[in-house]
Amino acid sequence: MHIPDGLINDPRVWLAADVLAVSTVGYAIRRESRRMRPEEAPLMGVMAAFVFAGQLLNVPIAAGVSGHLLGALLTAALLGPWRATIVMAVVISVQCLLHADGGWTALGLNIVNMGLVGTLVGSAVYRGMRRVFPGQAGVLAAGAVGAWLSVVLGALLVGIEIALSAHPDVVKPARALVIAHLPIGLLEAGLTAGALGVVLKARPDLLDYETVTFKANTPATEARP
Amino acid sequence: MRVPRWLWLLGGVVVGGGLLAPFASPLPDGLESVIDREGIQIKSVPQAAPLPDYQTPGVASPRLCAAVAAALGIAAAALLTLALSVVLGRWGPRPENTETPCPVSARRSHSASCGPDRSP
Repeated sequence: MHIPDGLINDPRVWLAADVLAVSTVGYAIRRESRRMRPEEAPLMGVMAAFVFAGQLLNVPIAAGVSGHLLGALLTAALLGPWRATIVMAVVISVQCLLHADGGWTALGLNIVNMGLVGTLVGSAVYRGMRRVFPGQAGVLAAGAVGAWLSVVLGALLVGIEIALSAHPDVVKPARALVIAHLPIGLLEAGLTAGALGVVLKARPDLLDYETVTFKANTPATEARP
Repeated sequence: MRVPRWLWLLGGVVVGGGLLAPFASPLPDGLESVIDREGIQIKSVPQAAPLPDYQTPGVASPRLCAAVAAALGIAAAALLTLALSVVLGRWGPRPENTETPCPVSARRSHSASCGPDRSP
């Protein structure tokens, strides 16, 4: 789903995405700078490695199409939405600058489509579902639904961006992209639920509802001098 | 010196990702396939990068070429995130401010009523 340079040529579209990406990631960094404890840094690095590896391992999906893990929802489930936003922004930036995967002018677009959609929108659905369905089955179901949504909504957004940037037909690219990503979303859902199942066995504390929502909702250190 | 468990895990992902990378599917991804099929216009823009398209320039063996680039990319992303997080951790809450999470009920009503001490 990485947008290359030359696809979205209307600067208003990619500049708007740049503004959204920079302000959201900036907010996430500022917010987590008040909350991060030094012992929490390793898991951030490990998740960045997992997401990067997952994104470069394409697997065949259907006739002539491949897909790969995005990992945004999985990261948000383990680290909370704002830390996941930071991880995804770093991963997508390294892909662009080091590997030319995703264009420079499309960096903001890619951070929005593959990062923020999953870490903020997908994870809001994930957290809402966990509130409704407690327990281990709830974790897996919420992870699968949130992951599937993050891929399909991301694809829809790519289609809308193509349409906004001088495509004559508004509906066609969005429809084609969503249809192409329905099975890729299933891959994302399966891998995310599988990974969450492993975490439930090995480190269930990482998925503790209180921890996830604590990082998500509660201002921790406003009284800091 | 004892190597912490997370570092083993990180090293495992770097090595494992590198070993698997040559076997990644070369088929077009969802977006590329739609661009081809729908005939969406795209300008070809050259983009300079040290390891373009997850390949290592100057490495003859195609498998090694993909494996090295992948391992370097994974390690770069992990180290950058780790460094940023360590800096954020330095700025982070002081020990007296780290608190146990709020109960769900208290957070739902008004989140400001719990958490670390706050003088009114």
